[in-house]
Amino acid sequence: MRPIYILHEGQTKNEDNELLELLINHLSKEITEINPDMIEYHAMGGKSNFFKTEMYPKLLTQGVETDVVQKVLFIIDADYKKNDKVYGGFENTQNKINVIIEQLNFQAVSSVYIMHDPRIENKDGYLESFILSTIPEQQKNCIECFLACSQFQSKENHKKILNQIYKLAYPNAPYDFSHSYFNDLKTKLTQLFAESE
Amino acid sequence: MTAPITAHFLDYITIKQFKCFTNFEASGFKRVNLIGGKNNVGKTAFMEACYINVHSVDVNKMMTAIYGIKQIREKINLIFSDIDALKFLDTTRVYISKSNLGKKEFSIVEKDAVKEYKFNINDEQKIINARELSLNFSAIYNIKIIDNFGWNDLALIKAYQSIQKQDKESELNECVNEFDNSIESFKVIGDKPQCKTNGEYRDISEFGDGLRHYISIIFALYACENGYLFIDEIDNGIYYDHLDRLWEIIFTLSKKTNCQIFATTHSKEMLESFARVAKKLNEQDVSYTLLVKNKQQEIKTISLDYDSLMDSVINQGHEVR
Repeated sequence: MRPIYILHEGQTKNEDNELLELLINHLSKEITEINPDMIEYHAMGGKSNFFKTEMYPKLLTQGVETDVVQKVLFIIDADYKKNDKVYGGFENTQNKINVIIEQLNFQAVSSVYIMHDPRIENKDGYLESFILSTIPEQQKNCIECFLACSQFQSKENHKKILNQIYKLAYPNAPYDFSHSYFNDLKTKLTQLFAESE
Repeated sequence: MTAPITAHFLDYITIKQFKCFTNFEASGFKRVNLIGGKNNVGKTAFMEACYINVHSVDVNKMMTAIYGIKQIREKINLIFSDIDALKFLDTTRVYISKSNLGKKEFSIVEKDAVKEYKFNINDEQKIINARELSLNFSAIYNIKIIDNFGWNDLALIKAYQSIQKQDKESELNECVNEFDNSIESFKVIGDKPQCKTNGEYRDISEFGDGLRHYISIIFALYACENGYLFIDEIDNGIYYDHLDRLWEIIFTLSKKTNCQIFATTHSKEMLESFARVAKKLNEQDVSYTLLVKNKQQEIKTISLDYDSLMDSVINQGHEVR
């Protein structure tokens, strides 16, 4: 079994997973302690699954109990407070995820990174808006303008379109990991390897 | 939905003292149980502890089980004398376990030049002075262990006789043929187990170890009707391409013979094959128990039922060894 678990939204091999794998591989070239083979990615499905103890795999819960799993990183979208007053928004997400970490008895091994748009003061947003925040201003404005004019208002449609446009526009250099907005996530990921065996 | 566990099946076990185990517990066993873990974590010792627990229905059977596991480990086929047998029995100084099938305890106590063998079987205690201990070994016919590369000729012949008594030779030959279609049939000729290929019978020892191991498993599945079969290092000598077929036969025959299986492995391919075939046959009466060591170096378990196994191995592709 692998000692580090990263829990992310969506299905296996989705955009969340792709971004994380690329970033980990990128970091492993710079920091020798970072070993991508130590990580197990677990796709949690929808955000709401993060808040139900029964949605966590037995392999993980028993792995933590027996010290085999030594670090768990929760990566979850903040989403928008206006859309969901209980689970939406950075603060609500942080509070609710802390509750579940306590219920799982994962406090000693857990860390959390909440995906949001760093340009928004209240830290609303999700993975796609975070990625969008890291591309040059002009292209970013074009994409945002298109989305604003489109009739695709639901979150999932919005995310899919955003992701597709992004992939078409930047096929060879998917993410600018040198952007300062990636620094917090890089720190979280690097910390996973401190004291992991 | 998982079928209810059959009454005689081992459901859980706690091992207080035995070899590498102190205060160990494992649960969630089903009809077919795969035990994983790194080398030297205690997989074989765990199976031995389960074997002793289910076999110890009285003092003689308990002594037989304790002696038997040593005999298998040391690969001894014959008892030369009571003194030799006693030496092997004495290598296990203490065994304490409890399961849904009962409490089984054994210890050797030496004090003031008096040596005593203490047995506690389901709270019935018996203390025997070493001078009065009579070694009447008697094995239970439908509880068997298969170690590394399968049974020796003698054990195969005995098991084959039991298959003959059940008139199951043709079924057995079908299973052997499904595993290796170049083998037409199995027979005991004289005192040698033989397999027929290209119209000619050849001694089983002329074939690879995998065939002996495989044939031992098939024979044991028939021999252990309504009993238990413990298979150590199940993948030994078995070629990767044959793993799925082996599990298909184990799942099918163990259901037919109502036999509970415990098998150890550290092979990733074996574990993946186990999950894959369970899914294909929708065989939910299975469990996977991973033995691990925690920070205090105590042996603990991670136990997955069918749903968890499917989610971790098949859906998420997680490493579960």
